[in-house]
Amino acid sequence: MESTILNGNVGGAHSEAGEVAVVAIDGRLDALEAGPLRQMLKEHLEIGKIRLVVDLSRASFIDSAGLAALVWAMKHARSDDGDLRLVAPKAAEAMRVFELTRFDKVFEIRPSLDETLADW
Amino acid sequence: MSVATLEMAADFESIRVLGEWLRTSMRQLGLDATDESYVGPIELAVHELATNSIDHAQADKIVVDAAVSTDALTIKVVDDGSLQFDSVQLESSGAPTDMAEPRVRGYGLIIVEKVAQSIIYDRTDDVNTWKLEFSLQT
Repeated sequence: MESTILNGNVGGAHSEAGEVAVVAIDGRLDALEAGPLRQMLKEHLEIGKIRLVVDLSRASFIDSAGLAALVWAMKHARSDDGDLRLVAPKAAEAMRVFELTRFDKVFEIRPSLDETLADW
Repeated sequence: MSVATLEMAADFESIRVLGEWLRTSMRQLGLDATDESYVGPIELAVHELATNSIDHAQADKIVVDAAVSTDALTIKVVDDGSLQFDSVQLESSGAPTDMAEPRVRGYGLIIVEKVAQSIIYDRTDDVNTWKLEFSLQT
């Protein structure tokens, strides 16, 4: 069975605008993993990290529960004048949930972490 | 009509087998399970209904079966949940229109509606049954 690694402590990344918290997903982002992800993003927001990146490049499958965790954090980050950006999943199975719900038009989704941070 | 059946505990760990089971069952039913653009959305739709059985129906057990006819793949998701599905939720679950203020939850059924050709829900004798039909690949 695939496992998911939520790496919320990669030390973040730095862009010209300052610190960006980066969370990487490896494997499935489903109902089992959505809670821990949401909690991790919530902790970042609570300490004022309003620029968040979730790197989905190694995500293998994302369902609506995983999407909900991302939407929740995006809404909170944007309400504080920040944002949650996504590094695009390479797997079609992970991208599908965004396309079916049209959230591919709502999130800022870029092909790589470097490009995600480029103008931030 | 051949049928493949999967019975599993209603928890998020157990339903992770759905994707592998679906692909194996499709092969056994004589369908091409290699085209991910066909199989992937079906897996997601069935997964969303199983998640719904756990989250909203409070089921202990979920049974999924797949059958194929001359023109459709039919998948039934049956649970013993104590709660009935709220049909109002289905009727109001259209695609989000206000992207400036997107909802945080409720996207599972939107996905099912977009992927399945038809959806029938029934609750009889304290059992929830979802019947999904998918067009066969031509």
